Amino acid sequence: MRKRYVTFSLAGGRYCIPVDQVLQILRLEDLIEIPKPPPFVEGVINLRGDIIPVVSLRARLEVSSGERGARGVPEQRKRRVVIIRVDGKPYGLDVDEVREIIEINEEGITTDATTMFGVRADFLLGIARRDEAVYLVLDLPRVLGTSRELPGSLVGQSQ
Amino acid sequence: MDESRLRHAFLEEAEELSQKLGESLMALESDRTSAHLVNEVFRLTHSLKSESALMGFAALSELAHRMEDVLGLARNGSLSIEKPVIDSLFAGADLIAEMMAAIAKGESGASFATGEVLRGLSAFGGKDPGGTPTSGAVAQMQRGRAGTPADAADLVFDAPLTLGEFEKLQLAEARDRGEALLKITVSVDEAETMKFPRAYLVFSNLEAVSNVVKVVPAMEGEPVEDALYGRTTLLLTSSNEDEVLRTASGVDQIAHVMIERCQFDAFLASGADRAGETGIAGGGQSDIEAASAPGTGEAASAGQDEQGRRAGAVEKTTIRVDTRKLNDLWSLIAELVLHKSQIARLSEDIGHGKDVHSVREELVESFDSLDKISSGMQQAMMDTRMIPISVIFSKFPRLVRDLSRKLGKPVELVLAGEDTEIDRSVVEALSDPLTHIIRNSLDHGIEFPEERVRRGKSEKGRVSVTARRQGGNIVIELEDDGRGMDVETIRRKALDMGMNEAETFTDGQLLDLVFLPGFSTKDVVTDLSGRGVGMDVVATRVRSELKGDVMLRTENNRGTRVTLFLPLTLTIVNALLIRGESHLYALPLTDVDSTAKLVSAEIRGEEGRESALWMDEEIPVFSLGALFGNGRPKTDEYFAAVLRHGDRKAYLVVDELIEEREVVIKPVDDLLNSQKMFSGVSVLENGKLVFILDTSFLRREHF
Amino acid sequence: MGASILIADDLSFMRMIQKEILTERGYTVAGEAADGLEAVEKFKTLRPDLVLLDITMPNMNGLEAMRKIFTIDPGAKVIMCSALGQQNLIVEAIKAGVKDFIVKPFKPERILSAIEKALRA
Repeated sequence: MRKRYVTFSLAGGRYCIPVDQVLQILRLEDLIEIPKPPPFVEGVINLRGDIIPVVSLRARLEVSSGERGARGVPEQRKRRVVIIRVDGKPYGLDVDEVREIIEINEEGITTDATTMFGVRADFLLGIARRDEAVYLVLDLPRVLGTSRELPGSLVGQSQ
Repeated sequence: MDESRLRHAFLEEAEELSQKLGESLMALESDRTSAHLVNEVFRLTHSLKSESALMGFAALSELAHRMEDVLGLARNGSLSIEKPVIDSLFAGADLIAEMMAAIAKGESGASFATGEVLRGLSAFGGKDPGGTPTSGAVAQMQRGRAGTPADAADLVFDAPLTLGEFEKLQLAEARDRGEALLKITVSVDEAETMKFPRAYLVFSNLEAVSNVVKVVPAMEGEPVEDALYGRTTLLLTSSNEDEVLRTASGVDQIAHVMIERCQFDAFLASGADRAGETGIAGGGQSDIEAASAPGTGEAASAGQDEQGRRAGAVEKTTIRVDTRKLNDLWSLIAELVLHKSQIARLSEDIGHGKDVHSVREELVESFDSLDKISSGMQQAMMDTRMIPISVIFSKFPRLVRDLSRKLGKPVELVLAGEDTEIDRSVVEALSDPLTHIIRNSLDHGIEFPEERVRRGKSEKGRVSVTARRQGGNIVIELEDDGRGMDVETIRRKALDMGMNEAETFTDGQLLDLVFLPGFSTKDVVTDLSGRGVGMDVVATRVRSELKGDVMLRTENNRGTRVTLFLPLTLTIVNALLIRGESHLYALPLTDVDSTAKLVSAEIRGEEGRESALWMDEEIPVFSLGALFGNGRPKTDEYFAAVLRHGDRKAYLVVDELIEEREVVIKPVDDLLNSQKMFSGVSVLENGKLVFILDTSFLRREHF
Repeated sequence: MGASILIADDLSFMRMIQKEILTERGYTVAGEAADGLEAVEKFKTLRPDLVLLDITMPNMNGLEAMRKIFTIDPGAKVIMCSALGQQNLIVEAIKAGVKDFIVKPFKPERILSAIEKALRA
């Protein structure tokens, strides 16, 4: 079944998430700092009264900016916070640039070779290829650590 | 119809009313508190108003109307019949008699100078049209409407149709059922004076023959400006387009109906009316910018933002409040004023040299009273936010009646606990899930009469909805005496899906699975008799949005019960606002004993285990800096709050003690609260974030 | 036409006008009631095709009466007459199943058109 995905770039790599999980896309300026933030949490965004935590994908995915260092430096004005809803709650993802919306055939998402891209494999659902470009499909509940049984959960981590 | 015959009849009746009015007013003058008499005069003026309006005697009608207003206020207790009021009413009655005499002679009564009398009556308030309903007295508090655009052309409520999760699920299911998606735009006749009820009538009729997913402007909750309903848009799904068309155009006073067939995808992908636009459910505006997306249409533009702001600006911020609640508040304020004078007097006494210790007892008493009064006022204010759940329940009888006739299943609906009060903000969010569960019961739970009889049940099915308060929660139970669900089927399905643990699950655990997304899919529908449909969205709504819980219990062939637990929402506390570096925090006043200034020399001990004197006690010293920032700054003096728990105390050093104020606590996401130091977060009017400190954390580790 | 209609309003003047308008159009006025209680009683015995109910009546108001009428016959056709400013009551009436509502003062065409549509439904 073909489904639509929002794609974005992060440290030189391309990622995508299903469109129906995206609520809104905002600029980074609206980020508010919080005292003693947990790891990977950059701050929060106040969206019409909802206080939404913003997670740094770079830090969370442990994307090494080593190899792709040069390409990996984000242009400030293109940085965005993608607001998604996972497990009924809204969260924000800090990305370098939001690109386009593409259609992917779900069967075309392969799960091999996920360790090659310098990203922790358990955060990915797989890889999708389209027009010679490769997109890493994120497993959002795992990225946000909202599945309680999983190790590496953000919730409950102490400083 | 014969004009003169009509006039004659009018005169006969109206003159009689006018005479009775005079008599009743005299009786009222001697017995000012008689509710019966007040009612009587109210009805007389009401009748005079209607009749004269019908005949076209505008001046007479307006006069009667104004009098009716004043009496309306007296009826619901907000105005007492003092001398000036009676005098004014008499003036009105006399003038009416005079006008009647003139009309009898063939004049129109328009030449009478009613201005002065009208002004006299207006002095007692009640400029709003009367018609206060008798039971469950709810008086409209709003006087006049600020910022109402004068031009009807401006009053087009142009918010885009944005959909939330629940609505999108309804669309997906409707699509799977093979229904059509229709957008209906209804324009109410210009001549119709009450546009909202007219639009509501259309909505209500359409609800009976289709699945209405979204309506703009909204029908539930507080209605917006009446004129805005002049053009109402409904998004619905149906398997019978003809019926929808017939129903929509079958309502009188509708000038124009436009029906558009729409594509499900357009709404499901982005959840909005225009492709490429997304927004958080509730008509939000999108900030998607230059996401050059092939096939997603134009990027959101500034113009759209403006529209959203305009639509948002017209949203009402007034609410209706039961006058009894306002009276309660008023009594508390009266007591407050009393104590204020008492304290003023005491302070004067001290000023005149009276010994402080001798007035101490009175002072303490006054403070205690003030404490109680302020809690009382807080509670009273929160009560004004509460409305009886009957606002949601009231549409169930019709829903059940319509569905039961449509399906051919006679069903009895029993409602209880309708006056249980819930917070206003919860009302809108609750309506959909409850409606959905009832629909489920009728569609899938209750069997057809023949089957019921075969199973030894009564022919008529029974659905009951009860609401009650239980501790700090509202509990709503929806029960039917239908087929019930077979837990073994659920177990098998779970095992099929690879959930091996299901082998040993208890009935309760199996039933909880019904709330998972996987169980609501279409192919499971036939197995579970469709009961699971949409339950995952109900669960999300109740658990995540309303912060409550939902539970399912069933017995094969006996029935099913869905129970919702909803916490009484909105926590407002008085807190001390403090600052630590660039962040703001709040300490609930119940945890604060006092504030103090500490001198550097007073602080003893090594870092991490410091203490200082308070009265005669040595208590621990903490600081915001050490807890959240870059350590305690080294200065000579420090501001601190003295925290307390029972008889234990501690200093909390801060960078600034700001002020005492009320804060509305919102829950804080677990992700932000990894050390469990915050009990919540609040947003001030200026947009600044305040973290409410959970002092129990401090007690736990450091006391 | 010839449909039978029950008129309920506490003002005899109102009832008279409504009766005139209806009979001129060819409807049969099955009966009249001056308060809610009477309206329900007459509905039971006369079983008219349609009921015109005023919202404010003594002894039992229109809303109450309508609810009782629905328990007697869930398919009853009721049109509610109200004064301006009774929005709450009208919405309650719609939730309870009223077919249409008319705001007083009304023009004859208005009430006839409402009755016609309600009977057709």
